[in-house]
Amino acid sequence: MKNTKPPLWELREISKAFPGVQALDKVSVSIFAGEILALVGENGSGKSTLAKCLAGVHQPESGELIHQGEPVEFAHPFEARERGVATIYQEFSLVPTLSVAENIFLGRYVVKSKLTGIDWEMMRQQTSEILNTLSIQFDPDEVVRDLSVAEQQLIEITKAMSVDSTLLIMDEPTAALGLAETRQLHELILRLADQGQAILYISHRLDEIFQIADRITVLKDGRCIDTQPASSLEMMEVVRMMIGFDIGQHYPKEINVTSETCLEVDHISTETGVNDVSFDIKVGEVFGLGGMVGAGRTEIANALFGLDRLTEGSIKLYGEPIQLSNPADAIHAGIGLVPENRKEDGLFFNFNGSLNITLSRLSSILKWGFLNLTQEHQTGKYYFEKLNITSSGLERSAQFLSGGNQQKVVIARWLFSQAKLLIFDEPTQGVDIGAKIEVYRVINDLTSQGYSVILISSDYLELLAMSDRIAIVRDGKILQISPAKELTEYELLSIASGAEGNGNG
Amino acid sequence: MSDQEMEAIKIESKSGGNGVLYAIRRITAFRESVLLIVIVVFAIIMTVASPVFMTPLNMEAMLLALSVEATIAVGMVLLLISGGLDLSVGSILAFTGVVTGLALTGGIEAFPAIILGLMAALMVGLINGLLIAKLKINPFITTLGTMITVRGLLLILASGRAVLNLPKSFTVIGQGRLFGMQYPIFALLFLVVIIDLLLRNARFFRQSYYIGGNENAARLTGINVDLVKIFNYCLVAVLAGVAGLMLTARFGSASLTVGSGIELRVITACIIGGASLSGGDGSVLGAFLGALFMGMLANALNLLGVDVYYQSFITGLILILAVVFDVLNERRKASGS
Repeated sequence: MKNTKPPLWELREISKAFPGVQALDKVSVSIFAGEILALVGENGSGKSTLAKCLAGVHQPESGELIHQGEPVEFAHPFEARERGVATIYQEFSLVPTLSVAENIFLGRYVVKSKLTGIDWEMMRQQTSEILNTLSIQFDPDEVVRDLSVAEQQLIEITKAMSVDSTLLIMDEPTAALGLAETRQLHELILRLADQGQAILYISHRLDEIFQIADRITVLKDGRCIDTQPASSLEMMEVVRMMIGFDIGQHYPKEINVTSETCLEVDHISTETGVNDVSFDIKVGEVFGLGGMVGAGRTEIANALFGLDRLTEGSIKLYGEPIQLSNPADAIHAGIGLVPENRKEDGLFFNFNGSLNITLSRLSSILKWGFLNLTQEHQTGKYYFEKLNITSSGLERSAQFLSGGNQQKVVIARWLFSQAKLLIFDEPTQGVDIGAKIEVYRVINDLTSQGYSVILISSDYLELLAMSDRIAIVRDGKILQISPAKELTEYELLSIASGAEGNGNG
Repeated sequence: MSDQEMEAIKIESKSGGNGVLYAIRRITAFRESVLLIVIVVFAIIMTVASPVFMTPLNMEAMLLALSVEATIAVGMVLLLISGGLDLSVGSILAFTGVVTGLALTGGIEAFPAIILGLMAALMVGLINGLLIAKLKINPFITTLGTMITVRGLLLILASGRAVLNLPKSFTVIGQGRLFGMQYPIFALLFLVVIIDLLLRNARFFRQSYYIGGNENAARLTGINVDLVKIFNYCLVAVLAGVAGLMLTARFGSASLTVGSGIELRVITACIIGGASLSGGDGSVLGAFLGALFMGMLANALNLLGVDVYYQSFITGLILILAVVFDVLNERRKASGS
């Protein structure tokens, strides 16, 4: 249908090399007006490089960029802008202390006259108009700092759209968003496509790509594997194309639940909104916490890790009551937290692998009361081998490890601390499929060795597949606990969002 | 990890030759080795260029001059590693001298007077630490505040006049000799060795690296961040106090203006020695070598009859070069990945 028209953009045999790596190898892709083209592939497959060639950030070494039949070359990103290419990168480019209108018009303020200066009224008005055409409700005077991450994302898009653009490139736009915000963003993207925008959408999350994309292009090692209409593809086929082999099962779930009880949570409440929550976890179980962003899942995890004080209720680990007034207490009791934000809360980026692991239990590598550095190094080596982490990361700082390997370093830290219960808060956010499967395998290994796991995830397919039981959380309460097998994604979503409660009373 | 596995690792680390090599590599980090080579080459050149340079008298004068900065640098580097900063060390140095001086002239014995002075230093460190750790006030602002306040306080206490004629029983700590070298040099070397060893090998001190590397992650791994921070501010304050006592004893009087501007020289020495203002990096040995280098430079320029104004010019240049060197080194490492 759309393909009968000539393409808006045609990329012909684009190649680009960086020192030591052929990032793109003769990649050809066409983009049509009004379509959402998804670009998928593992980390390092060349997705972002291709987008940056189109945005004028990188200059391809060979190949052609053709805009409506006319070959073009970009020496600089603003030349791409002039051709109607708008890009939204993973990192936001907003100034937090300025208002929505000021951000949208940043660098191109409307000037009334030399004497009276900037025409604020005009800018406000134009901002409102743009926001209206995108059906986004915002006060142009609102300061960006006061907006949520999702709202800032919408402003970022508005800013990109405020300059006449025909192609919008989005690189992992939902990485920082929860489910509700992702849905809001997708509605906006679909609306834009309806209005004739072409959208190049880069994402790790295959489920969302299948929800919105018209066509899917798969890249692997800098080559274009295939481009197909989304409707004619299965998710498993895409995974196979991305990683180059058949993984058998996307979610390699093993059931390792025993009858022994690990954790008993008895009617706990906190000032942060956890409201009379009770549940228990068996040894070897993966206990999923489902719910919207802000429903109280992270708050429950924080209470179990001694970050938030209990106002009521009690917690028992292996039948022993435990008092948690800080993370040190939780760690001592045998609880570990793999935090949601690896970069800010998990990893020591400038330190090597061993240093990143041993700090959870420095007391065990003491000799005559001092740290035994040799033993520390050996400990790091042991865990790198055990968890199959790239050995080069042992000596080099953790920043050079891939996302999946970084996650495994954080997990190793808790294995070393002799934790028995591990809380995973969004463990696969922002890591590629190969690394995700690695994390799932680690979870399987852990449960088979008698560790218990609390899994918090906004990826509902993952949560349903990897959990043994799932507790659905809303407004700081657990609404229901059921075996993961008996839940569908639809049920989980409707209960978590409250849609069901409104309908049936 | 089970206890058996732990044992296996212990045994392996005893027998492994790689482990020893690893330990050696860790102690002589890249920056320190480079700095050490620069200092040795510099010393050789100076020995040739000036007959006075390698004489015991000049060496002693040089070490004595740099002992004040170096003593404080030992504590400051710990603070920089944990992501902190203390601008009030110069004021604390003078404050300690004045408090001890006033106590001595008021008839108190030398030992209790010294304790009193160090207590005064500790109090300022404690206030810095509490404001920064508990109230989360920016370290720059906090210590800028205490720097000005404490300087004012000592002027009030001493009624604007230096405290003169301090008794022999006190001045001996700054002027006495052991094996022909003055006490302050021994005190400095002792502090460098002890605190360097502690920072490399003691669990409590190691925590500073984690806090400076990533404070949130450190907190989430059970480190008592506030306690470590408060301790570090107290430690640097006490070391500034020790430096103040040695200086006061050496001069036999407590000056009110001494130590002004020393904070920046101390921080410069730490950064030349490999510390970073963004935290997580640095060592006591590096900070000492940084101070040694700056002291040697001052001494050399003096001996060569170079105008004193060049000293500041060259020190600044070296600081910038050291930082550029770091940035380029980081780039090289990053592109190698």
